[in-house]
Amino acid sequence: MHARESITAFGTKLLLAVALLLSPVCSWAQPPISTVLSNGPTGKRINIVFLSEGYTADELEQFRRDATNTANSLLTVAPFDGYRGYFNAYAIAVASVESGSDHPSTGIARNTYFKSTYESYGTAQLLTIPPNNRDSSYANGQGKVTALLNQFMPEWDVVVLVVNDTEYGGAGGQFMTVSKHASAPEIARHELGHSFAGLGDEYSTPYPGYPNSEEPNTTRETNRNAVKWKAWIDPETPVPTPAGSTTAASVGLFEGAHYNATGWYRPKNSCKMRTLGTTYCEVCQETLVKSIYSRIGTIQGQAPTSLLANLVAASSRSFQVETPAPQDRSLKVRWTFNGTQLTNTTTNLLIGAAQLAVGTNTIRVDVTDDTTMVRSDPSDYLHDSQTWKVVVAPGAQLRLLAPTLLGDGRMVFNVSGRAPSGFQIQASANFATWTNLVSSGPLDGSITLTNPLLPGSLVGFRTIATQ
Amino acid sequence: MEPGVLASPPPGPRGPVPFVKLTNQLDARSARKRAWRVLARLALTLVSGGSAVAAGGDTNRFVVLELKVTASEVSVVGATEVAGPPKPQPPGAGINFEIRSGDNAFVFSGQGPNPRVQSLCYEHLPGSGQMTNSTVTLEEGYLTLKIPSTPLATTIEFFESRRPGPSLQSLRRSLGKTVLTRP
Repeated sequence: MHARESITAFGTKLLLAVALLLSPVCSWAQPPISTVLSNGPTGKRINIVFLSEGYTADELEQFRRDATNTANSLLTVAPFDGYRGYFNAYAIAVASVESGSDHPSTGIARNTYFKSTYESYGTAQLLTIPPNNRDSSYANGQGKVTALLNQFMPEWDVVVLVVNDTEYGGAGGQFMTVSKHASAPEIARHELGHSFAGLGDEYSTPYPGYPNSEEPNTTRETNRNAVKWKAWIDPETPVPTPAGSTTAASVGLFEGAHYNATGWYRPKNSCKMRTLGTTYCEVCQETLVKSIYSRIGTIQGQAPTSLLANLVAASSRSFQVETPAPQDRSLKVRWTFNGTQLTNTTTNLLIGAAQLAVGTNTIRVDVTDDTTMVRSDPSDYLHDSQTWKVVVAPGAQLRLLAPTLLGDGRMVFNVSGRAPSGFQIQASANFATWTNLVSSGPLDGSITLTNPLLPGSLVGFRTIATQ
Repeated sequence: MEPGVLASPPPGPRGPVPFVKLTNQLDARSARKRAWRVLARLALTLVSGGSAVAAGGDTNRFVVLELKVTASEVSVVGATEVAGPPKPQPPGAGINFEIRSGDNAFVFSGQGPNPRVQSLCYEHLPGSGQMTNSTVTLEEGYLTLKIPSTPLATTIEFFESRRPGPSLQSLRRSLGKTVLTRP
């Protein structure tokens, strides 16, 4: 379909769904999706979805264990370990007829659900699903992935196909593939740096023709004050930074990155984006944390939901925000009332009646992750704020007019003025026991009332605000 | 099994989730960062019974676009409206898109990775830690994007954007424009 043609973009795409339902290799004995890690609603968490490839029906339990292990593997390294509660993980289990994956050079061809193959495009380790150089059909591979995601977890953020084959291999991109080789989890962490946070490769192996666009962790800039990660470079660290034992633990400007041995620089001598088996460096960790917060905010809900409240004098009001929480601390909460910062640092705030002045009051809350892993956040990803306006009206101002005694001892009269919702007009014959005549509101005008018969003589009326 | 890892029953069929306005009402600066949510709220405000979304009373939806990407253009091969609260999209390089309304007003933008680049970083020798990569640039690739479900969206333009130097302006190369219509 040509891009300039008009399309029906909001229709239902049936072809893949039908193909999915008719697939002879599906095993629906057990619902295909299961929860691996649950930390909150999918709309408020980052959702990792694992799909099974090359697992027979009898092996799907093993897939669920593999998915759990892979989730743990991804989330037990910094900075993800500190934000484990920000993630959910799910496993979509679909059965293949045969175990494993294709190895074309050795003649191994497996009948699998997503038709994965090693040796894609002539590279032994490149493990892909169609369309690829061996099967050009989108519907045979990626189309099936998208159909399953649409059906079971459209709120996916990270997608990983776990391939039931122990040969070394995998692939990056929007839908990652990982094999069951012992090194696969480490490759997956590295690839996650690319797909989740846009990190660049810091190694120097040439890649002719690769675009010269810089990534958050690569640069050609050598002016210390212009280096994008300058907040991490100590004044005594030389720039550019020579590699050696004295600078091994330092953040600086190390030459060799972005597939170039010279002219391109990286933040640290060693980092997972350069060498497997190491940690993410400080700059990559910072980028990953910001990437987490670019997907979910520091304020995820609030009460009251309305940002404008109308109250009357002598009323109080509570406010609340919902925030995610890192593993080892809470986010920093700061409340401001009419421009003055309050001492309350919890997610709940009660403004008492004595504090709310007649007129407009402003309550603002700022929620920030003040993690030491982030030193520069110009896009303000780690901070959200919320402001409520509370308009306080004066208390009830009512007048009793034109009282007229009825022959049976009752009285009809007119009440005029303003009163908030919940006000009451009461009558009493002894100033001790009061009977409600009206309990409603708000009132802005006049009403005519007749009091009920009271024992004894009628002696008085009063109005009270109940809020 | 580690704490927090559950072997729980599957969540089952995913029904509509009540639209949550809370996160759409953040302060302006926060709201700008949450473009998805702003769009969702805009749809809630403006949709008034004329569309399928509004008729169902459920604006808590987004559209999954399946795209075919070549060197010269992006075309839509599938579109599915699904339930779920729209989430923000982090910025990044790759295939960019920009959604505009009927009067050419900006509605939303985002990006996805370039699917024509098929790559894997791996070790020279497994276990050595020393990395290399295998990267293939394909004639065509497929990409999945999520866009807001809003009647405001009438066109989507795809383009590549890259900054050739640290101090140079980004170059934008159009990959085609598609009209979005509702049945």
